[in-house]
Amino acid sequence: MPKILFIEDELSLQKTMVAFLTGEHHTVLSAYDGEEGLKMAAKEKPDLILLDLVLPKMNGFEVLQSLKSDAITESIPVIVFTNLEGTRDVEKAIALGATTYLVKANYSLEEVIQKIKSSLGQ
Amino acid sequence: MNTRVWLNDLKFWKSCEENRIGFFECPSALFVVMGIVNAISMIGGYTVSSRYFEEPQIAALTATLISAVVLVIGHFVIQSFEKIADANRLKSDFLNIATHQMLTPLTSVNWISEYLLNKKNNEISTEVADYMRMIKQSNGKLIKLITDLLDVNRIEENRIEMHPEPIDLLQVTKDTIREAVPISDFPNAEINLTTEGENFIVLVDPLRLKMVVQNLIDNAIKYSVTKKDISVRVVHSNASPVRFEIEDKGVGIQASEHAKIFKKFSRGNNVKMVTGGSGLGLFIAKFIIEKAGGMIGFSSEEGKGSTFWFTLPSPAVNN
Repeated sequence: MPKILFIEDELSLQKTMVAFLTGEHHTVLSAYDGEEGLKMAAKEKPDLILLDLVLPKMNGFEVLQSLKSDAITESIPVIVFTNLEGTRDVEKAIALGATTYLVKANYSLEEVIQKIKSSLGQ
Repeated sequence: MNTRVWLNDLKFWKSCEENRIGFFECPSALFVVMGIVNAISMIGGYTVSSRYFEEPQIAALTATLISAVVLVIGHFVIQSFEKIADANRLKSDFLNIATHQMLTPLTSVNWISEYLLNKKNNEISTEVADYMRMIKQSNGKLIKLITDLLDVNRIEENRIEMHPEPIDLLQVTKDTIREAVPISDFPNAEINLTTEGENFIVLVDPLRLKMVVQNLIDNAIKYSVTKKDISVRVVHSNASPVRFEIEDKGVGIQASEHAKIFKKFSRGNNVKMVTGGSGLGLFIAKFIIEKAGGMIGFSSEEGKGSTFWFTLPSPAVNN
């Protein structure tokens, strides 16, 4: 069962995603801020990380940078979740090593799941 | 090369340009312009007044007076420019922050209702499911309105995102019809899709293309009278761009409104009291299509219906 880490501070998004992905036979781990997310990534070594850009304690860019500079976590694919649809943000995230990005409000849950599955190579 | 760098250093409004502040809203640019205007008014004042006054002192005094008056007027002009610029920036910032803050909770509502509607084994009753669909539909309208407002703001600040890639216009049309009709206000609306020619690949940002197609379909459904007379044609003959056309036998557009239909917040007089809408969709559509190198237009007669169309270039390779 693929293990996915979702780093997101909006509780309701977090909960819905966990419920939906669990129903699709994925294991989902939740982290609510950047620091917690980093710790969990190193400890649990998930198959995929979903990362929000606006986060308490450490923002998504900082988390991404740390993930990619750590030998344990550098090869884990990261999908960046954002509502900040700006080329600069997206380009910055891709340059820092994100696999792809998605703008939350533009996607239905179904489309998000498709993107997750294709990132996992399913 | 070096000359260009040097010239670039001379560009005193450079920092304004980097911060997307227009030339006439840029304090340093206005300062330099005022300096030049003032120098000209002094020289001009001296030249003219020396014709009338023998004494050079009086001519110089007149020139100074003229330049002082010019400076005072200039000060107020600059101030009003800056006030407009400030108000504009404030509006943009407010819109950006407010709308981004709204999008996250709205996304939650969207995903939660979708999750509940996807539950199998009759876990929720038909009645609850019906209301859930209404929640999702209303929420979708709010998300659309907010993203439209954000897009208009981006267009005005010239920072809209476009990531063009080759995409099949026919497929996008099929997908959009399939997805958009059931969640529209008239889920039983019928759309008849026909094609002419082949290879409907176009080069455009896929998400944006979908927005345009969806907007044109929503409009056709909204303004159609019977909801059963809408036809979409996707056309591609060799060497010409790919064309999308949507025709409805609806209320049509008054001739006097034709010129402003693609303008921001514009809505037809004959529909604005009857149906809802922000009047932003066609403004955004026109921008997206033209930015992608295509054209957009329509023909319409009040009471008989409208045909909206757009064309998009196909990638050169396969032609």
